[in-house]
Amino acid sequence: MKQFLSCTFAVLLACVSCLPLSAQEGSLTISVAFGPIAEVPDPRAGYNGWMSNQTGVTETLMGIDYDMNLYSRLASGIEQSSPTTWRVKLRDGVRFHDGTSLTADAVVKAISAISDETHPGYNTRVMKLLDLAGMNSEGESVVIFETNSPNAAFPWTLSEPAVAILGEPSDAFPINATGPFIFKEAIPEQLYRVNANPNYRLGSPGLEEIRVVVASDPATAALAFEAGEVDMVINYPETDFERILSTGALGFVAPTARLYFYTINADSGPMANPLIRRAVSMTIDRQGIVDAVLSGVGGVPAGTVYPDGKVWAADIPVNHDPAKAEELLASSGAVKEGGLWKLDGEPLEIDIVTYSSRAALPPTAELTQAFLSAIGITANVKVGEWGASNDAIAAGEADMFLQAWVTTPQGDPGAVLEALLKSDGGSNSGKYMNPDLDRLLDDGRLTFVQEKREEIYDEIQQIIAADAAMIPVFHVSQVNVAKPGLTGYAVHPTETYWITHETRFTE
Amino acid sequence: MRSVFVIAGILFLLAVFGPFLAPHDPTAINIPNRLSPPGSAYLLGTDMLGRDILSRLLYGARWSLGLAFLISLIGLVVGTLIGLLAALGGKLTDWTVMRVTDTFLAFPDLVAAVVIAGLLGSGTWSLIFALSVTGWMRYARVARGIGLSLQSRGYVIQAKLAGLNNRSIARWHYLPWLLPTLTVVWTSMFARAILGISALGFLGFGVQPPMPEWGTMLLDARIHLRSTPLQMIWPGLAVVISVIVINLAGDILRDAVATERDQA
Repeated sequence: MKQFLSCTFAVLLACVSCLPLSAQEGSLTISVAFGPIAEVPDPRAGYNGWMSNQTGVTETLMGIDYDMNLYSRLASGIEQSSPTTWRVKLRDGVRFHDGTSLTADAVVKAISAISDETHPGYNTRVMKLLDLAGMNSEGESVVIFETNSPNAAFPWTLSEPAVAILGEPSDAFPINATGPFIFKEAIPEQLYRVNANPNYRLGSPGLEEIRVVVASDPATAALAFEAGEVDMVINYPETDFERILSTGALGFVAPTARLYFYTINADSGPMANPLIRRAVSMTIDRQGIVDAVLSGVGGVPAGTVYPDGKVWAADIPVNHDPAKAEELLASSGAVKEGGLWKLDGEPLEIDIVTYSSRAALPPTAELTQAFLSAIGITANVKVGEWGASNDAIAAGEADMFLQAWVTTPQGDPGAVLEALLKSDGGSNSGKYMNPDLDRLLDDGRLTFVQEKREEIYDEIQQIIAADAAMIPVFHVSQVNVAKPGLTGYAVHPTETYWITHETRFTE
Repeated sequence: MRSVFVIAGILFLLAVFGPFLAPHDPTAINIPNRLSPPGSAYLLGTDMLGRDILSRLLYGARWSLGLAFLISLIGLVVGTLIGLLAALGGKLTDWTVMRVTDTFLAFPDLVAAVVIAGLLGSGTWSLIFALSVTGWMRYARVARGIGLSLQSRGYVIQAKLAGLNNRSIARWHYLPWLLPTLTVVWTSMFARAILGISALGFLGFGVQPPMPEWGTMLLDARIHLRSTPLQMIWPGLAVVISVIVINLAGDILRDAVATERDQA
């Protein structure tokens, strides 16, 4: 038995042999599920900015602290001079990696690239978020931003990792930023490597080098950690967390704004009927999923979009009521025959799609399938890639798409909901349309009084729950592990920050 | 020799009657009993969703062995027809068909199957298609080789002179010679199909949840390799034993066929 175990372990270790060997003294090797997509991934394009922000290469004008408060990062202050005008004063003494100074002109140039179709940093998602009518510099250290319409989320949007402030690139500094680490190389889907910036304004970083290696399979990452090939794993499999801690590893667990939820196909098929959507939502035993899939360490059941304890969370209880779900199905016109629900004479069948790069997704989909089956709804689960699943729901080939998003990546509640649920939202692959929700999302953006905004987003969440516009399953805690000796690290609630100049690792 | 066929017979019976022997519903989730060790209630323990591993193995036999049977049978029929076409179709047909066969053979079959399954998307049908497309070439080569060697036999020449068409010649004079050898090839391809199904299942391209298949059971259990390794060991053993037994049976058949040929 022992020999067989060893052989099995050895074979699986061979699968992770593509991962580079662990670092020397003063360096840190981190395993993550998603990697860079280009050899020089422009931080402004797509979601490239997440990696550069997480590894301390790039910085933004504003930042989000560990209590989800907005703070001035490269800016020393921001003030609103009219409903559509924002005046940002830059911090003194900031230098890019190549030694040139941060100026207002450099900021204008860096952000202009986001809306320049010919530039590699072109990003329509962030263009929408910024909604800029124009910007200009005022002297060396003030930037004036003019938005197309009043936008209460604007200061928060300046913390978006894609709004990275970059200087002129060169061969030595292809990503010429201001952070404590300097970009060295990227191998698409494999490696992202950075070195310390000894001239960082807040002090020399505590690490010489950071290597981020990609292991899209969580089990592979866990084995690589145990074999000593990586020093740290971001998103360690929850089910193995207790055991790995018993080996002396350090564990880092904290709630984040990441939500596991179902995008529903509101355009066609059974889920286009709100009554069926609500019935499906009520059928899901979220506590059961959290117990089974997250082993009690990974999160809490979700009744609404934002996690409890954060300013935007609405008071909507988790509702698991299979009997009520069956009542809703009956009132939707479905008929139960021989233990199975039928709609228009055909079996009520729901196709669920998801992807496997987050360990909790496939079993969550399987459990949902079982809960639906228990009340007589046939559900099919297909586990593929994120892109294929997203395409399937967009093409109307699937009814529910289980995915996991950070709901407040810039700290403000509007951006993600606008992308996911607004009629013209860039990620509204389920084609959900609700004029009331659209209007409220606009109001949320246009309103500047915090209390009023809280009311608006509360109402938005009530509509989402009542209409089952999306089906929240659980709010996740990020579960990370590291070898003993890692200090100056904590889980950030938006997951967009990992390493600071104070992070140290001594084996 | 007898014990090999007994075990192969047992595997066949499990594939057919396994579901009737399963003590539990293989898809029944029981969260409070998740990751239970082997015991009287669950002989081989439970998986992360509390499902009985023994029942899943028994149901999985139908998928793993049944699909392997189907895939290797498709390869046998398609490959034999293509081989006979090459042998009987004349020089140009032979050259064309065999270059196509060589092209298919040039790709590592499992890698090609992964690519095809990846393009088609996960699911049972794409798994069957991917492994069938990459599993007919050996039969074709063997059928064509034996077919060509039979062309100069007197009874084949006589059949041609008597006006029999190619189809009849293949049916009455080639197939009886081909079948023993192809049966031996089939056993080896059957074992390869089991491995292919498990590999694609392990990579997530195979049978979709909640139905159990040995490769997907390995996939689900990999996260628990260090904490509850038995979860991986049971389906792993099922795959290993099946492949060894079928290969051994194939070796015995090959020896029997060779002996018979020698005597003939």
